[in-house]
Amino acid sequence: MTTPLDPLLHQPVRTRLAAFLAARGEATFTELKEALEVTDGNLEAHLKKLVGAGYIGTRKTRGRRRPQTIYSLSPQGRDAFAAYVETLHALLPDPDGETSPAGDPLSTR
Amino acid sequence: MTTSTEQIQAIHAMLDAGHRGIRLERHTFWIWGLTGAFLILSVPQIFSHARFADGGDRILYQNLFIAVCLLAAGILDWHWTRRIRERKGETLPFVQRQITRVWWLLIGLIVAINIGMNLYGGGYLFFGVALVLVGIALYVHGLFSRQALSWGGGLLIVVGLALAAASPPIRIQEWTTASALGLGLPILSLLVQGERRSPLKEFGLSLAWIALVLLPVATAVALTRPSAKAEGAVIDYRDYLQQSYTMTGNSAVRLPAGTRIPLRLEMEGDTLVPEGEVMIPMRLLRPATVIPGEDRLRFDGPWRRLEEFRLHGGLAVAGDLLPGDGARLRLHLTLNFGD
Repeated sequence: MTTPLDPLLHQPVRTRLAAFLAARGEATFTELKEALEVTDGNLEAHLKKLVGAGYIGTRKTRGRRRPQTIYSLSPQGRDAFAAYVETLHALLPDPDGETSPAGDPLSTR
Repeated sequence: MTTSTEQIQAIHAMLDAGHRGIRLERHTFWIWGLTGAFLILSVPQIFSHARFADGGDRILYQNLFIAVCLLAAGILDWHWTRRIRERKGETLPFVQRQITRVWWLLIGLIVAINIGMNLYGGGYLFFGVALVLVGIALYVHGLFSRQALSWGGGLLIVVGLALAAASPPIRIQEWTTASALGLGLPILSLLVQGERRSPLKEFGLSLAWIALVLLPVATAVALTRPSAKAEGAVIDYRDYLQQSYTMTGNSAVRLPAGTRIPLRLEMEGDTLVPEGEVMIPMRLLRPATVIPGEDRLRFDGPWRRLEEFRLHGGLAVAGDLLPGDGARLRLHLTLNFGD
């Protein structure tokens, strides 16, 4: 029996967001928007969910111009992302070309 | 359709984007490129033997000048980059801050090598080694940024190694390094802007880039190459000495084997100084043809400038102190004109 996929991360934008932060360490809102190619409102909504769940931490920096919020994955977010990727790998078709016994639950038509 | 495979691919793409999050600003290439080219071309003129007769002073002031220029370039680049990132609402990623330190270490290493070569010789290797170190810095940046940077760095390493192995005249080494920095880095800044390209395209553009960098050097070498043969008549050395000849254009003078050529030896040091001028009577072992007033000459091969001959030297010193003869020093110098 496979572990259920984390519903918070199991959303295309949020998965990519977590992956980007996992690799880059930290990023500003502008950098995230550029990397994910999403609108301000869309990104804000997804960030709010992940910050609310404690997956993403924030810190403020005081620059010369205006304060910036910098986002990074929290330890809890890193664990959740690692578990999510592990679950996804378990669902991958085996090398013989057959899907896992339960089929691919991500497949949406 | 969204499958787990596609989801994994999307994750990989974002991990790659996150890892390759370093971006060198355009001004960084310009600042370092122009500073490097300026130093290469100006330092030999500013800190010439004529201006600084004392070798120690020359080394000290020259390297202080280089260090101050590089420090100024580094500070300007750092502040400019931070201001741009702040204005765009972007950060300097952790990896970029670490790699900037690597860049500084390599620049420091170039200065240290220059000091070492000033003191202990080996200057023929300097430009090759400097290009290799700049190439390594670009290659490391490219690993976390655009592939074109890595290709550019790799190609500079190849050019640097070729310079070190072939040891062309210093003048050509200076031009190559100045072109790679002053022209190459600003052009490279254009290659790393815009949309990401396929690896093959990035490689192709990098090859075009290095060709563009080497083209002015090849042109300059071709334009300044001595002509294949003397334009004027070849005058006998005896006639030349007796001034019983007629000069036409670039008349050449033939020095037969056995011609006596006094060699003036200029020596200095912290323990011994020559008492008066030291002239060593030497004799030509093979005929040579020279053009008076120019530094062109040839033996059996093509015309070359004196600086283009690779001098292979060997130096050995021995000393004696005997009751009958007193103190003696013997300096053995082997000088071969590789033709």
